[in-house]
Amino acid sequence: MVKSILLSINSKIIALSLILSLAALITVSILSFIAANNLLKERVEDQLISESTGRGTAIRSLIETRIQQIHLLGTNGIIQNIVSQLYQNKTIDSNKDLQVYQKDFQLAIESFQKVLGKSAILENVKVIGEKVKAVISTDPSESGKNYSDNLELRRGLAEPFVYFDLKNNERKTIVTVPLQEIGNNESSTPVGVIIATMDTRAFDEILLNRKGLGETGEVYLVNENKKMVSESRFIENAAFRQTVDTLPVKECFEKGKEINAIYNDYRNIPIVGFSYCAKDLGLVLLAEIDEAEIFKPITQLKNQIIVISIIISSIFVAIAFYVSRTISRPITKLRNAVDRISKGDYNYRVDIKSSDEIGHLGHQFDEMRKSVLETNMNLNMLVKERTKELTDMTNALDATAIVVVTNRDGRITKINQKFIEISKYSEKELIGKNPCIVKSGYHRTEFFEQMWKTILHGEIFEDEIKNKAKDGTYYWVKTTIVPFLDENRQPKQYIAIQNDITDLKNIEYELQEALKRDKESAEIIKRHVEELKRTNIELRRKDKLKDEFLSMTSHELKTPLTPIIGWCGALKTPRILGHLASQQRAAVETIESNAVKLEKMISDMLDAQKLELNEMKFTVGEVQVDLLFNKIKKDFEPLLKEKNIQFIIRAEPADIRLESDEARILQVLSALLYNSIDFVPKTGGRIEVTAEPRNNNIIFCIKDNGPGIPKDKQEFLFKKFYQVDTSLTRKHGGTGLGLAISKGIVTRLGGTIWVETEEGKGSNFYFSLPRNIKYETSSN
Amino acid sequence: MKLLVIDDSQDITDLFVKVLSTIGHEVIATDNGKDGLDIMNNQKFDTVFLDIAMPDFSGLDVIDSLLENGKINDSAIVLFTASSITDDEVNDLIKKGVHSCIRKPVRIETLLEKIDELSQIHSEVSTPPN
Repeated sequence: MVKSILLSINSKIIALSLILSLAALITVSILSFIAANNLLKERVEDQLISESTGRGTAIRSLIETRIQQIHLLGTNGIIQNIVSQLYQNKTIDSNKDLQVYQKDFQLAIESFQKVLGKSAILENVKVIGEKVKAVISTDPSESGKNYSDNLELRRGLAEPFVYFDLKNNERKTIVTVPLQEIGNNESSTPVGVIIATMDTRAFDEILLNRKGLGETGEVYLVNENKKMVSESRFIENAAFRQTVDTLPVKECFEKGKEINAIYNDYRNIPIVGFSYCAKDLGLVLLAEIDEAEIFKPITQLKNQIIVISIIISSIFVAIAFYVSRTISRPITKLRNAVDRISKGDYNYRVDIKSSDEIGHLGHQFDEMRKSVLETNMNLNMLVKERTKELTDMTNALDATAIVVVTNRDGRITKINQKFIEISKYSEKELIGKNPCIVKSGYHRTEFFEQMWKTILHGEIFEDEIKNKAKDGTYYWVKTTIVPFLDENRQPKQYIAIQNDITDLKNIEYELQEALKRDKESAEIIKRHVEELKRTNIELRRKDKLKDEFLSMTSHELKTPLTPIIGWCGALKTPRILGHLASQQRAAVETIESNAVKLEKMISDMLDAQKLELNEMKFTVGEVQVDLLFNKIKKDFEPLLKEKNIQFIIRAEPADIRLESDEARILQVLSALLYNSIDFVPKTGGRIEVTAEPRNNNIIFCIKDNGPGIPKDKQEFLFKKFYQVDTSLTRKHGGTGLGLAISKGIVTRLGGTIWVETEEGKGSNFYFSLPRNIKYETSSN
Repeated sequence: MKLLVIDDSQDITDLFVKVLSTIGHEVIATDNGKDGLDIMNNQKFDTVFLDIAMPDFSGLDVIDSLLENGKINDSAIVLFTASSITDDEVNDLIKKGVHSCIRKPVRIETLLEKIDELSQIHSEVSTPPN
């Protein structure tokens, strides 16, 4: 996978640039190739045309020249003399005649040779008479011989002609011209022929000049017998031996046509050839150049183009490779990162430094990776948590309930340990079976029909089922069957969760039994209850009587005190009962003070009782602290003066108001004051009463310079009938209820009471009351 | 002033009579509510001291009768009681025409103060300014 991606990116870029460069190169080279090809062909054709026609014409004119030269030789006097002899039908047969003519003939030829110069060498010249068949030759051996059957003679009489032949292994030009007597009628019948055998140098000069023919070009002549009559450039001694049966030869001799074409020459090598057809002369001239040579520049060009193409392509590929590398390297990095990340390595950083789009992409990808990592981590955690929760739930479920999974046909596919435990069947016995294996027969058929109806409708079934275990025992399960539907809303499986409620069922049964049994007992209990009710009413009545008793007691106790105290008061008042002796007065005062104490005690006991029974009545109204203090001052001043106690009472600010029960506050203050009065020293006693607001409370303080209260005793101070020092009871009278009652009242008024004291340094009793009792407590 | 004292305890009525007559008032006493009511029907009193907790015919019964007769305002009714009625109940009674309430046990000083207060009202009513 890694490799294919790598290849595809790099190779795509490389292949693309390669294709582009090659396409351009191929187009250019094809165009230039065609152009060069055409140019070359044209040039070669021009060359060959000029060579073939030029040289052909030259050959033709040289042949004509030779005919004219020999014709001229025929006009020579000596030869004419011979000719005239021949006209006279005289036979030159005698040796003497022959010798004469021979000599003259040779002289004539020699002189004519001089005229010709070196342009042509007359190697052999003979004159053959038509009728006399006499021959005079430059070769004396031939003279006098009969040449009457000579073919050349026959043709030569009709027309002059030239042909080439091989003699003594040398090529010769044989020129045959008809002989006529000069002066006679020009159209008179020739009487013989003159046959001159000449060298071929002049022809060779024309043919073998290879100028303009390159390295393989040649020009040669072929005769009617399809024999090469000039030398070949390629084959030694080819003349008259080499047959040339090529296209232009046939075309010339069969149709008289000249051609220019590419064809195979006598060597069977493809050449470009042009023909010059001289059918009248029995010759065809061929100018040919090897095709290979002609197209050599093209081949070279081709090679060069290929080389250049390879070089350019290589450069292109190299550039493309470099470019693709610079492009693909970051992409490869990115792809490596993707691979790593797809394999789960989310910590792998994409390290692309470039600032282009790919760099940006890399950066973005890295950001994405981070967020994916984060999400993944969160997800992992969530999955872990959820898995844990699910496992816990499953474990909890497995531990407490039977879980049975069945397929759509009702066959058991999965069970938990609990089912095995309770049903006593093994897993093997249960899997694949219908859950009715544990059917007890307790329920009616309709019960199960209803169950199936419910779950087939995709609804949850819930009920209590009695089942039978393998060992025959019965058990009850509270069963919930949840059908799971497929995409067609058809049940595909069912999960049943069952809780063992056998014990519960047993208890239920026992209860019902017990209930039946106890119905009668219930009747008895009912009667008892009614009795109790009656007793209760009686008790309540007695309670009321007790209250009334309390009220009555107070009245009855207080009533005799009224005349006691009253009469004491009357005795003390001289204008009513006259003056008493000082001892009598002291006695009366003692009686009075004890009666007052007794009265106070009764009041306190009643108050304590009322507080306990929550029967104390409170009357809430506006309390003006300064007025309250005035009342205190008035009430206590005589007693304090009598006891010589310095007394200060003040409210700060003076106009403190609160919503509370004035009489009860007075009661508390009085109780605390009495307490202090009891404890201040006999001389130099000092009591200070203050009130000040603090937040939503008013704090009252009663400060004395008494002996103070030891720490360990302080906590019991507000308990009923408590006295700090029981030995002091005599000294400090009082019921021991004052502080307890004060605490009860303050509490009921929504406040608190406390003491700050130190042994030997006096006591500060405080109580705080809310400014408005309604907001603090519901008044009873 | 002419005063009536109604209390079932003779010790108390004796005390009231002794104290109040000593300081110069005309005092009549009776030990039950019914007699008190009869006396009040026959004579006019400036002040009536009325005990509440009395057997058979209580002080409250006396007040009810006075309210029925419309004679509640004929005299200044001063209740005295231990703790058989609450302050609220006292206030209710004051609203109905009762003058005031003295809590038992009654001190001589308190009684004398009350008499002084009532004498002042009495003199204002009986001797209007010329």
